[in-house]
Amino acid sequence: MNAAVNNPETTIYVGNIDPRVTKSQIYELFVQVSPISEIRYPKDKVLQMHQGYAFVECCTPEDAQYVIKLMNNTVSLYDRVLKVRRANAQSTNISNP
Amino acid sequence: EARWMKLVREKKPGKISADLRKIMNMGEGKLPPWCMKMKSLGMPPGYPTLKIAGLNCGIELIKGDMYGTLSSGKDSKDKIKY
Repeated sequence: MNAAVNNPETTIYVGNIDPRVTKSQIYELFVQVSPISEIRYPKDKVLQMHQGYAFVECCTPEDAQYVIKLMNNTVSLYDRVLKVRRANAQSTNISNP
Repeated sequence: EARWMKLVREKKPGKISADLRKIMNMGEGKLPPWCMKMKSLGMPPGYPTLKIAGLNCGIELIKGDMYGTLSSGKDSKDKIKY
């Protein structure tokens, strides 16, 4: 599956997700700290398992920046610490200010 | 997608289900781990009306699966307005 990033300004990457975590749980977690417009949580086609990362789309770049600062290394699900970063567009590498 | 609409209706800031609390290792009556960071980073820009127990309102707000609330019911949905 191509987990393309719609808008790198408003999209955050969430990594180190235990495969037992559901999309609903990711929504419930992140909606605590920002309005969320979309979540892409790809599954391996063959294994039918989540692949350990998700893209969470916020409404504004300001929300996304805040969520990254607040949630990176903050929450553990099934004892795995979630990594939260800005999602870079596939080829362009946008450097942080 | 109907399932997504259901999620949006049911899952609100200030309230965390037993299900999610369990995998987060967070009991009832506790504040979520990000609340401490809010003291230095400030409150969420996306939720101007969010109240969190012990941060910007009284600790008595902690009740069962609740630790905070969006103070105004309908208007603070997903729209950002200034």
